[in-house]
Amino acid sequence: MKKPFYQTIASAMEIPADLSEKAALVEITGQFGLKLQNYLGIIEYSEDRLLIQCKNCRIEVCGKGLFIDSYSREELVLSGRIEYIHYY
Amino acid sequence: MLRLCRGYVRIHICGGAYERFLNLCCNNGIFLWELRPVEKGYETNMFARDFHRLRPFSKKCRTRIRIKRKYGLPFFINRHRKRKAFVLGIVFCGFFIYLLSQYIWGISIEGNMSISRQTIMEYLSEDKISYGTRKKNVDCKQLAADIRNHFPDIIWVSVKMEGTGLFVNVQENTDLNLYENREYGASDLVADVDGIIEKMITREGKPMVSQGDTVKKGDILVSGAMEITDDAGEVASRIYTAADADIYIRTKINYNNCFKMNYQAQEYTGKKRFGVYARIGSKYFGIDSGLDHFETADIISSEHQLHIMKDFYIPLSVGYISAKEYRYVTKTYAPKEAEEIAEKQLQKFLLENTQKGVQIFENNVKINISATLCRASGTLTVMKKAGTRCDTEMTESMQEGIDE
Repeated sequence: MKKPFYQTIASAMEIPADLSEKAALVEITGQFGLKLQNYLGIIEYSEDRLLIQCKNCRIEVCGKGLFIDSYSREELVLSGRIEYIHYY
Repeated sequence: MLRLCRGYVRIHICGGAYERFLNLCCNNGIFLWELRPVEKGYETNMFARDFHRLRPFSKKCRTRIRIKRKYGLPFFINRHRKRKAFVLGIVFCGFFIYLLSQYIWGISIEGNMSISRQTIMEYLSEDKISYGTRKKNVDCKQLAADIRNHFPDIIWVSVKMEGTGLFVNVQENTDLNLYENREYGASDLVADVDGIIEKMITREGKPMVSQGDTVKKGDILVSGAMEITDDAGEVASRIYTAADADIYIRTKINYNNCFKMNYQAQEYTGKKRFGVYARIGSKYFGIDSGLDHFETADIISSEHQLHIMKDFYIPLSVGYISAKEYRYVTKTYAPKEAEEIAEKQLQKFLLENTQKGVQIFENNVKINISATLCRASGTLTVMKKAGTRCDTEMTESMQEGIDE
């Protein structure tokens, strides 16, 4: 698949994707912690499911006892038992 | 801690579009934490200042916001705004702590071995430094120099003040050679025991004996007077020096130790008493539960000076005393027991001598036990460093030699 022009320039200049494409950054700590950056907002949230809208995709986090420890413009910190993460 | 200082609220969000509300808050810079889904909505924490900005968002999303609980300093102050005495108390407490922090309430002395803490504390109190001295009046550099000058055995001192504590670290001189590095006048080394010379290394002076010679107490081993002869073999002049040598003599020492078979033993009655006390300066305040009732007792006390944080001592100490009553009972050692004790004492004596550098070759000590006494006596053949310093005896002829 041919890359768009801006992606070609960004990869040639070695600019990270989270800056150039505003790709979501997901940091997972074991099975019980998750940090998310570069997102637009929450679509759905319950104890078993969290659906987040990012620029180019949606991220679904499923598990048990999911709690949002902090939520701000920059970062979302989730704790609880994470069972799987799905990208739409 | 920062959140408590700024003050925050826990709110309950219900009705309408919850997620849209959360996204609106987030996009407008409102920080949320501990967001939990609950029955019919969400609960979350946010700063008190941000709560006032929620009205347009809740209208847009048609959600209802209810404060569940308020946390933090602003709410605390508001709740207790009429309690002026409480506030005054806090201010006074802060002032009192500040005032106390200008004085020294804890003195720590470390590194001292032969010089007791009491001795150093007495010296400090002569210098007007003790508990309750103003920190401004203590010059650490000068104090360190004064301690070094006053105690010749101390070779290094560090004095520092941290919080309300004065920390004195000392290093004592443990090198014996430094003690011996003194200037002596013309002197000889004489034997202080009878024996046979085992080893001899002469550095200064004229050796009068050699290895293998038998010497008696008082014999000159190394003379400080050295004669300088001319080509004809006659004495041209004399040089007087302090004799210096390492001389090891094999000798016999007597060992005699005895103790009675009957002894007074402590037998605990099982009765105990406890007491607690507080000390402010030199005044004691305590709860005494009959500690004086015992005639004879083991009294153990432990005292702790209170401090806020590591170095901020306050002039208040608390202590705990316990007393266990005992009485004296006359007992008799069993023969085997007495022999073990005599043997232990002999071993202790041998160890002390070995640590001083004495080599033990033979041990002819016998232990005799009678009905009333246990006696350990005998001789020990040892090799030890010998030689005591004695001024060189200058005769008239020697004096003439000097004049020439």
